[in-house]
Amino acid sequence: MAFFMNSTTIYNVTQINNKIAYLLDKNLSNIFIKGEVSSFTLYHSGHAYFNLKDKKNLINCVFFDYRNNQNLDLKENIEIVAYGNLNIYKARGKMQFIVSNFHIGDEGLLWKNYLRVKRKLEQEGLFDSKHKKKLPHIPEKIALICSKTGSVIHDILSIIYRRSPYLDIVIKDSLVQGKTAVKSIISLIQKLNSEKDIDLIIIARGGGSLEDMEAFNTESLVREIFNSSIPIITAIGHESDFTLSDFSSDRRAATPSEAAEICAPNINYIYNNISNYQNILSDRVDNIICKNFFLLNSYSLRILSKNPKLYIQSYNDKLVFNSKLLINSYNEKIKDYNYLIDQYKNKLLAYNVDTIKSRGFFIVKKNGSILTSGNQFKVNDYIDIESKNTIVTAKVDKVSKKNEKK
Amino acid sequence: MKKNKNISLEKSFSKLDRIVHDIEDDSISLDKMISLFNEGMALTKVCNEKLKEAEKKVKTLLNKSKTLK
Repeated sequence: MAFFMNSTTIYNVTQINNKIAYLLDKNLSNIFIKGEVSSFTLYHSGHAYFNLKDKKNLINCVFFDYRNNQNLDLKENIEIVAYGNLNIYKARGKMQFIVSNFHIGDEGLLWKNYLRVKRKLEQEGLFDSKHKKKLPHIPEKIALICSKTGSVIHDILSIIYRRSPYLDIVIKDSLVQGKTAVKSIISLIQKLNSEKDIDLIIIARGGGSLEDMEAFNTESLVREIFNSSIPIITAIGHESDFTLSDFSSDRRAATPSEAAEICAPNINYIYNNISNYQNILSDRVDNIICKNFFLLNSYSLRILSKNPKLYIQSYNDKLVFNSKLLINSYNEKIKDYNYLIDQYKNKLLAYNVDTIKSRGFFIVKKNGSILTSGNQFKVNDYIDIESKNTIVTAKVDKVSKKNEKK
Repeated sequence: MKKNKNISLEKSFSKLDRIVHDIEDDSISLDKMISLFNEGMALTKVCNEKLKEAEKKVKTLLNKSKTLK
């Protein structure tokens, strides 16, 4: 804020309006102002201009695009708490409060409190989407916290029974309004968390005023919903109502019927899913078995093509062939030998005694022994001269030596 | 070959693969060939039985699950 101190600075009008705009924006944004509405005028542009005043003072206010915001009922002379930013309309040097939301009468205080708690829990991270627990895809047992009287329970149950007839529902009757409701719902959440077999909790309530919803904006309940380890769906009030419990729950349903639809999957969808998976599985298994049969078959064929029987057969064929060869060559050899033998026989025959005798030779024996030399002859020896057919016995008369030729 | 009944299909197939590889080697002796052939044929029989069994099991399971609906 040094420029305040600097008295020598001279601003022109634009500069000072810019400074004011800066200061207002910096210091008086997102504030609440309580006052009575006066001079309410709705312009053709759709913007609403009015004043907020108390006994002594007044401030100009504008609500842009008022006409297009439904359910707004600003009137003269009513007490409201308005929420917005202070700003300066520079062309006229006029300060105005730009209202973005408001609540009428006592609700204004509740609402202020709502925003305070909201901001606090927001800063703590209770509403962060990273903390949201995943809802079970196909829950089996759910708990429903709501009032046993009223249409909410009927709406929810009829939808669940229609869509997921298998679903086990535990109904926890509870007050859904006032301080006792807060305690009751907190203890129910804690009890359900200790039971361990609940897949999902629905907290539902019909529509109502901000005052009616106060229980669900109470910090302790909002925290308990955040702390639950079982996922929680909230369906509180109308579509346009956002309680703090809706922010800290794992899923906000716009209506109780929507909550039922979120948690209860259509049974046909589940059946379809199952049969899809069955088809995928059986296709896959068929495929694998087929592939294995094919592989096995190819192995069998390869092994069968190496059947030793075939090889043994071929060995056997070779054996027969070779043995035939052997026999043939053996026979040939025998023939050869027979021929040789014949030849020798013929040659030997030439030396046969009878043959020799028939050629004019005689065998001379003395005392049965063949004489092979002339020296064996002695005068007066008796010798036998054998021809082929006769034996002549003779007496040696003379032995003389042959004259040797020179 | 009784031990083959307890080994997994995957192992049987890798064994078959090795047997086929060995038996297709031209330098193999007849004795070795006969023993590989015996082993291989026994293995294919076991594998075939196992596959048929698996096929039957799947069919029964599918029939069972169809009666669920």
